[in-house]
Amino acid sequence: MSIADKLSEVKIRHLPLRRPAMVERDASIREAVEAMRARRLGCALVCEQGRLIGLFTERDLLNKVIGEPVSYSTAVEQVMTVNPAKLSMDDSVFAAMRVMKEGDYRNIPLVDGQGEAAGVVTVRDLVTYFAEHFPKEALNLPPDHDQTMWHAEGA
Amino acid sequence: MICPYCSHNNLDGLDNCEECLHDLSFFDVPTPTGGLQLHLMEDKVSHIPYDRLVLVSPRDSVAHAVSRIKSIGIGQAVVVEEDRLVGILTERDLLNKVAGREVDLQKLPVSEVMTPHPETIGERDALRVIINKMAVGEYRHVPIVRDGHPVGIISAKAVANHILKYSGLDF
Repeated sequence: MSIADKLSEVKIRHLPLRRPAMVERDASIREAVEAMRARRLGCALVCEQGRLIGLFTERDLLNKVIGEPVSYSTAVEQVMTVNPAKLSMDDSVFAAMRVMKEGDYRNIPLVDGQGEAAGVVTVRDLVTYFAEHFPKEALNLPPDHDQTMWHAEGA
Repeated sequence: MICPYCSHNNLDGLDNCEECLHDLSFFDVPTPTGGLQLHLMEDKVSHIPYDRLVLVSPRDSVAHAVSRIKSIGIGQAVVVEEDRLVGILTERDLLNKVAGREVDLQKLPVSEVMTPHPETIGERDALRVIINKMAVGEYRHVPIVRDGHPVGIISAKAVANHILKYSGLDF
């Protein structure tokens, strides 16, 4: 199977996704930041009773909060991105790549059929996928084609 | 692997034939078949569009660095001292070390918040080297250096877009 076939056949749910950071719409910016740090993610899904209503990203933090006269106790819904682009777990890795490229996004929230927040796929998940699934190309080669080992390993 | 020079049956993966010591490493290097695989193996860092470079000093204030980053519309600054790369200040650093702190950003120096000595790549490194470094180190931005001087920075997004471009799927 070619790499291109793999990208369009493998679904987002097959990636080793991390658990998303999720906060309710009336949570403070501080709570969203703490949830992102705890999950080591660059975004938090903002929900209302489980339904995705917005996304708060590192870029929102940079552009609307840091260095601005905005308190960290402000509700996150004041600074989130409303109605973010979203995908489902059953969309392909290729679909995630395309949406990221078109919208210049790094994080795409995932929702189920009812619009409930189900996860997030990040550009880091994609890079990890490239490295793990094209290992011959990405990982197993010496950095230089013409590299010669002068000593046996371990010598 | 059967040695093509002396027909000795070696274990797979040996660099030299155990019998005649001929170099066998060449046979382990996979040859790209074409398409995206060829791009992954042969494309250089310089084939991928670099992000714009914002240079700051470690003694600059975080407030100054943040306003420079925002004015360009990117998410990171490269920290240089005497034209040599000493660190990188990313959105993740701001999330982890600045957000929520009651601190005057005008007085907080970049050196206290930046990631010092980041992983770097050279312009002639191959695409697969960046993918490897980004995956292993969990980096989203890797500065490109020439003789210790930063000349650009590559984002994970640019790498993904480059792969998409050559996947034959981007139409």
